[in-house]
Amino acid sequence: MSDPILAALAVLLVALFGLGVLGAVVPRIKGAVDLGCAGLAGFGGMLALLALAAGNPSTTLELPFGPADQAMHLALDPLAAGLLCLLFIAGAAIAVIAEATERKATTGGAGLPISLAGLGLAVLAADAVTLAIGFSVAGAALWTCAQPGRARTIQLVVMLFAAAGLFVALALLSPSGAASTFEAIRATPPDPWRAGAGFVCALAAAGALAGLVPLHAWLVPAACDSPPPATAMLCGGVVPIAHGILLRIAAELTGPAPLWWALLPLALGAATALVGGWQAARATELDSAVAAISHRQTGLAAMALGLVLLAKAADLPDLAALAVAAMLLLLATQAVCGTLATLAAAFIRNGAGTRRLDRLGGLGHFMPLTTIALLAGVFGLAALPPAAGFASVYLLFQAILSAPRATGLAPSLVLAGAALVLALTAALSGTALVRLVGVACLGRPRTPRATAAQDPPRPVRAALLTLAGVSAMLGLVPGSVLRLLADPAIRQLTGADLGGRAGLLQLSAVTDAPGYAPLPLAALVALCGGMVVWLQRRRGLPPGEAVPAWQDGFAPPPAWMPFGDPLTQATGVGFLPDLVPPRPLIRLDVRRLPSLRIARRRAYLRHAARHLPQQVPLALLVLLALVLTLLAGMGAT
Amino acid sequence: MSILAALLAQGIHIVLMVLTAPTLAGVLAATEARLDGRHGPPVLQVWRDLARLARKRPLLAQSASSMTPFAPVVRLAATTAAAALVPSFTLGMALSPLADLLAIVALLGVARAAAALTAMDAGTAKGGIVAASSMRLALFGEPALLLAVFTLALLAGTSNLDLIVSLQREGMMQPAAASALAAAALVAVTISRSRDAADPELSGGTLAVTGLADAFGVLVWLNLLSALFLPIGIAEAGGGLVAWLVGLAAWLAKLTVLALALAACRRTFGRHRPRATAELLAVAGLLALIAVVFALSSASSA
Repeated sequence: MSDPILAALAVLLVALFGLGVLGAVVPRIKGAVDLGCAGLAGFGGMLALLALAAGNPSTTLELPFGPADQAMHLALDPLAAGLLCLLFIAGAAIAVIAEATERKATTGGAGLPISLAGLGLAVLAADAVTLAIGFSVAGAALWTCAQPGRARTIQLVVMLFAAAGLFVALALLSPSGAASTFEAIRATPPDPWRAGAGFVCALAAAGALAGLVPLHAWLVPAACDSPPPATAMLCGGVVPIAHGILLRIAAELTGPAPLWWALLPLALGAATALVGGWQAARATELDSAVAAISHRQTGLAAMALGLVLLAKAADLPDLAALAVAAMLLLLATQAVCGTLATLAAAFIRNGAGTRRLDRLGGLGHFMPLTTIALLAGVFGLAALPPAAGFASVYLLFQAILSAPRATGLAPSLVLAGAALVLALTAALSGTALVRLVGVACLGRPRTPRATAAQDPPRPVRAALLTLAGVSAMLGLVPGSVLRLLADPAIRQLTGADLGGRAGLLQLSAVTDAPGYAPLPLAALVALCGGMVVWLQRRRGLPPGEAVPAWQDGFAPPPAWMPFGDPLTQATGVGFLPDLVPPRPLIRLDVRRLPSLRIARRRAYLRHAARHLPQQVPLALLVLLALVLTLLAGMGAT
Repeated sequence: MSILAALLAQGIHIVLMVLTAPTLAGVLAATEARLDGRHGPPVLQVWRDLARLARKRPLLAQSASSMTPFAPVVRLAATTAAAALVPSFTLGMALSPLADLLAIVALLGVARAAAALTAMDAGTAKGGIVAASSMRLALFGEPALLLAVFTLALLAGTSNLDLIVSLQREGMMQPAAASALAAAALVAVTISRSRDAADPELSGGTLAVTGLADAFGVLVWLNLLSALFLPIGIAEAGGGLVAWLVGLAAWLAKLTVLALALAACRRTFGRHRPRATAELLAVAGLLALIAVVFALSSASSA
């Protein structure tokens, strides 16, 4: 059953590529190309779903091109089908939106279909060459979409680096003298040294693509400097696919994993999640804040990968299944909610003519649907029930809870640290949600330009609402979605499955035990809210009367400020504690004046001393971490 | 029969919560006033205020969007749902399979986010400051809370509140030190939960909804503390009428003691500045982190 599906998917990738070439040759028909791309992507998504539903084991297809003994191989297995499904859902929505918003554009028609084809090829690839070709093609296609500048060059370099890195990793893993196909690697597992080197290489390559610390700096600027479709493709397409490929290499192709492998993605993922969450709660620009929230999700996915490897090292297939489920749900959330939030932010940027948070504001009045889309996307990524983000964080928590515990303080510290990072990023995601939606969409408008903002045209609204619906579904029935999309892949990668742990109503760590039940919880909250509204309505009070806001007794704003004084409205400052004392405002050029230089230093020290008590909690935390690490190093238990 | 009993217990619990929440707020206000040396409002004043506000037509800021009437309802609904899930006098209520501790904590997070969004909706300076400071404090408080929950889940082997409480009731949560540290962390978080600065843009029915949500919030905290760390007298699942009555009496006694203690704490610490609150919460986070490490290293050696 799956064989014709794989052949159809291969034809579809070729068709997408051909469509892209057509768009490049005849720029006038960009609208038709985008529509065709949406149709093909929708069809591809259905094919992938069909392959999942048929439940066949993996099938391979050898393509009749390439060097003599290096023919290209495609393979369709449950993991690839699940990833393709996500990629094509996001791709179809992005193409619809590209058609509606860039109808008059005469360039960039090639980028979207070819990048989709490239990423699809990377997902279906069953050998190193095809994988590298897929990522290179996607990178080149996204390069043509982006605005000229440094960010675009760096993005291309990163994509090519990732392609090369994955090629090298697979070459290291493959048995010497044989072609580097996945099948050959599976047949002869590599020796430990080569496996370790291959894993590190793959982690570096896919990690750079997914924006893992320390190779994360390129992602947010690249996401901000592209038009909406390319940005969404980057956040909702490239990043989850990179993670999916890394999961495949680490969990399937490297053979038995020693314990230290798990520590690398755990540590890098924890750092990425913290950096992303922190940036999201302090960014001064709307789209970089959204990209950072999505970036936080990347870090969590890497932590889940660490747990998968931990479970593999300890030979606990049930735990591995739980961690893979968490990771796949995180990727699905990022593909759907990340795309939605990125697109909504891009439309707000276009509608209001600015990306600066302190010049947006009050957009809920002018762009109600876009506001809802932004809220749905960011809420979906946040760790608040009943969002999909919470379901995946819940699964991660449960995986850490059931992780193997070795004797000694050091392993305990690793798990406690993972729990701490999870808790911190959960709190940061809530802060980022409130700050982003509150500053950009609530309150008064800050500029006349913002009052002229309008919701995007109807097809775009429909696409945004569809994505919002899918994200709500991911949040409300994560168990069913996992059973459908992820369970075959989990079985393929770990040998165990979720089984009774994921159902329509609930998601739990152990079969037949109570767990997180999003749908009943949402029903309970809706019931309580309905009761409150009913009680309010029963009194028959007229709806509220609109009056000028109370300004703490200050005079009303002058007539030339029709929206009030913009300076009296919160701009998103103060949502995070200050980690370093802010510098005092002395702007004299005092390099040549020794006395003034001393004065400035003294002023800074005085200033820092005033702010020092604020640092006490942080200092305590750092101190405790140091003491615990010292104890762990001494081998105390 | 047992399903009926579970449903009945859930119904009684919800009615108790609705009756207790505003009364508890009144008791707290009156006790704090007495400890201050003032006469203070009557205990039932909160009920009267709620009834008076609910009859008034709300005034909305011109710049406010539909978030202002909507978000307080979400906040109240999330808090009420949490209150319905935390057991009071008996275990094994109808909704107990839903009562996951992580989900309850996250529901309280939803309530906080809804409150902050309401505060930002009118676009006033005060609203922005209120929202920013409440979210900033949450950044210290929520990790502490989640880590304490994590410790309890580690010790009990599950994150379901009902199962944790029944294990705690039988004294099976070992080591007690980790549990005690988690308790200390939760107490610190509860104490630091100062009444939110009033949002100036709410009035009438919306203000009543917010006040009720505040009252429910305090009740959820005290109920969590009493169920998790003082599970004395709480009826087992499937217990008879006598067990329920004993549980009811024990719950009322515990709630009274905890409310008096909370009032005394608030009185002693006074209206602490945000910075002091942040430090208290950070200490709570440290305690919870130590509790996790304790629980993890002891579980491995056990």
